[in-house]
This record gives sequence, C-alpha cells and structure tokens, in this order.
Amino acid sequence: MSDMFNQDETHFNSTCLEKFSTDPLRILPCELQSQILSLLDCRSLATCRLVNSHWLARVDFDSHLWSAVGLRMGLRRRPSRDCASDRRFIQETAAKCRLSCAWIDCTEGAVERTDSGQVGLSPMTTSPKLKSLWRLVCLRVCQVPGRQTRLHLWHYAPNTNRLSEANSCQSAQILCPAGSVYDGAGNEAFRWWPGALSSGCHVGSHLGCLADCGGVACAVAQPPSRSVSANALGAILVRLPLAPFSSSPTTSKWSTLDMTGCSGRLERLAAIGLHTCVSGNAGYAGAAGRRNSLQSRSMLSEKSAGSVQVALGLTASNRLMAWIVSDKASFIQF
Amino acid sequence: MPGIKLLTVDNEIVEVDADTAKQSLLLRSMLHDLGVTEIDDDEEAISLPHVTAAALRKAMAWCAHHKDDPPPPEDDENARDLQPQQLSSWDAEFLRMDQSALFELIQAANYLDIRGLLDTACKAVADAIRGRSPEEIRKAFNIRCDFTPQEEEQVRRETEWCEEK
Repeated sequence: MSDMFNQDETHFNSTCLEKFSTDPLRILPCELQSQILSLLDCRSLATCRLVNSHWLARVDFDSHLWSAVGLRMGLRRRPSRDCASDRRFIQETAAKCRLSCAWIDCTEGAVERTDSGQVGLSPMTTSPKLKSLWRLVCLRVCQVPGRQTRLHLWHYAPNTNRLSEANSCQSAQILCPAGSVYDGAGNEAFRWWPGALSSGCHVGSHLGCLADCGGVACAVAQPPSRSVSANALGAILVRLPLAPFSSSPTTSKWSTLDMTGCSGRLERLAAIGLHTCVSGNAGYAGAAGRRNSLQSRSMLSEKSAGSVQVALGLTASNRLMAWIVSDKASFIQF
Repeated sequence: MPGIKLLTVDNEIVEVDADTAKQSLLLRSMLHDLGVTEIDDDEEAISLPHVTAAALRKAMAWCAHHKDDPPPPEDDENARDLQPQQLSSWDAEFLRMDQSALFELIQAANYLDIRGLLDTACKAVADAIRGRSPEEIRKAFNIRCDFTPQEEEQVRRETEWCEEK
C-alpha cells in the first residue's frame, strides 16, 4: 500500500513537473530556442547538454547554434550546413581554445619515459587503423598543487562521432610526482626533450595528414631520424593557432610581451612553453630560480612568434609520450 | 496623440499609441496597408491572434521606453551573434517577471516583429541559463532529468574538455 502510494506520488510529481514546466526549449518555437542558445558560450552549452535528453539533442543538432558560437570565437570560416560537422568543428576548436587556459597552471611538459627506456616516434602512426580511429583535438594539463599533475589527451573518434578523453589508452600520465619539485636540471627520467626530433624533424615534409581539425594541422609524424621505440604505437603532431594573449598581472616579464598583433598567427601550443615557464615563476614557490624557468623566460622575448609542435606518442604499454618540437632550435634549449 | 485599437487573442481591445506601435514591423506594415492613423470609434480593431493583452501591453511599454533608440542595424545574423551585450538596468528590471510571462512576451515580440525586444528578452533567458549547473537549470525551469546515471556520466565525459579544473 505504501509502495503504491509512493508510486502514485512519484507519478504525480512527475506529471506536475511536466505540466508546470517552463522549459524554454519546449515552450518556444525552434527559431527562438536557437536564438537563446546562440547567446551562450561553449561552457554554458556544455552544461545545457547535461540538463536532459531533449536539451542534449537540441544543443547537439543545431547548426545555427554552432555557427554562432564559432563566429563569436572568431572563426571566420563559415562551417558547413551539415549540423554534425558544424558541431564537431566548433567543439574541436573550442577544445583547442581551452588550451591556453588549461596550460596556465602546468609546470612543464615533462613526462615519464616508456618502460623500455626508449623514446621516439613510430612509423606505424600512419597506419590506416590509426587514421580511422584517432584524431587528436586537445591536449591539456591538469595540476592541483601538492598533488599529481596529469596530462590529458582528448581525441575525436570519427566512428562514434564523439569527442572524448582517450581513456581506452589510459593516456593520463603522471608528470610530476606529488610533492616533488622538478628542478629542470636533474631527474632526467621524468623529462624528455628529444634532440633527434629538433634537429631532424622537418615539419611538413615527413607528415602524413591524419585529419583536418578545422583548418589547423593535425598530423602523424614520421621523423627522418628513426630513433623509434619498438613499443611505440604512434605519435601525433599537433599545431594549433594561438589566440591573443593578455598580460599576466603576476609576472612582469609576461606583461612586457605584446602578442596581440599576432592573433591567429602564432601557434597556440607555443603557449604551453610560455605559460609553463611563467606560471612556474608566478604560481609556485621556489620555481623562479629554476634553470628552465629562466631560460624559458629568455625564450619568450626572443622567440615569441615562433611555432612549437607537440608530438604525442602512445606506447604499447599505454603510456603517453610527449615531445615539444620547435621550428627554431633555440626554442628547445631548456 | 493618434492611437490604434488592437484586439488580442483573449478578446481584449487594447488602445496603443500609433508611433509606439510602429516599432512593431508587423503593425507598421498593417497600419500602412490599412491606412489607419488614429483611433476611430467606428474603426474595427486590428486583430492579433497570437498575442495576449498582457504581453501586448508589456511589449508596448517596452516600445514606448525605447522609442528614441536608434533603429537596429540591418538584419545581419553574423553581426547579431558576434557580441552578446549586457542588458541595460532598465531592461533587466523590466524583464523581471515570471517565466511564463517572459516566454509569452518573447513570442509576442517575435510575432509583432519587434526585434529589439526579442533580442533583449532572449538575452534575459540566456542569462538565466548562463553560469548555472544542470541541476540549477532544471530547477529554474521545472525540467525533469531523464538521463540514467550512466547516460549522464557519458554526456559529462563528453563535455569535460571545457570545464575548469
């Protein structure tokens, strides 16, 4: 009897909720729904997707909406009329735009070496399987002070049409163990700047194109120097556009760097190095004197308009490897 | 001051100032086509089958306040989408009403083709969504969540890339 009452009550509550719902995405006509949603930023739209299945569908399959978001993000390319590709394009770009923020708090892009101790890029990266399954769209570093830092690899999977974290490859890696301070000089086991790549890899001539991520290069690298680990499954070389920087109030060096005239011309991933070094100064005690910070700061002024590519590799043991490769050799002199 | 009579969907006749009413592109073209310039007791009221009296009055109040505003730019969707502006304090106060009334006003503005009001009211709704968590949005609009925990987790994972951590 009590169960029956509870069921009735649940049904009554549910009916009431529907009856008295003032859901704008049900009450208003479609064109007005679009107008409202198009006023929202990417993060709000992502939140809207979590409201319920109707909102999820509404946000995901509205080409006008994603076009508007794209325009607000400064994308001059008018996405196609195909709603799914619009959304994908904008989401990918939005993910990239998050990079600069995501990287602000990272210490540096040092990663563990593979189990075998070998590092390198694999020629297998251009395999049809990889091409069909993977498309990197975002790389981010999450760091909580006092805890471990993790590097996240995001990818777009064409087969599922979804943007997701590469959990299947367990790509999140510990970069700096909790409590440790990487001094930039020692502890090489946690650091990996492949000189072979910097000297030998010429971007463009040895790349197999994996995907067109909205006009920016996203490619598989096949460096001429085959210092390749037998365990390496693949590497992805990413180049992303860089938005204008605002000066950081905490770092005098940073505030003198005027990059506003370089909108859309710089490589966003250059910000990894820049932000990394500066935040090392600003955010973490004892970091200012670190060798890499000082050197990096000098790089800022000299090479701020250069480009940096980040190469990622996934090993057979599901470990993520990363390189930072510059088109200017001095860029990687840490 | 010349005025016109409008018959709303709830069978109420509302008399409005013609100049104010002309901010509605629909009414402007109607008045032009019908040659109506002022209230005439014998004149039949213009029927507005999709607008309630309450919404019409609110819309006209908004028009009256904004009658000296410069005309909105030519219809350029791209330009409109580029920079969502903040609501003015008067508009924000004006649009402080229950959601049903706000949605009614939006639909009235849409039907009457009062673009400034439509944009402003849509911004108010967008503001009500922005910065809220999914649960807060559901609560605000009385929306039932039909996701299973697994589905919700899946969607959450898909959108995790744009969350601050």
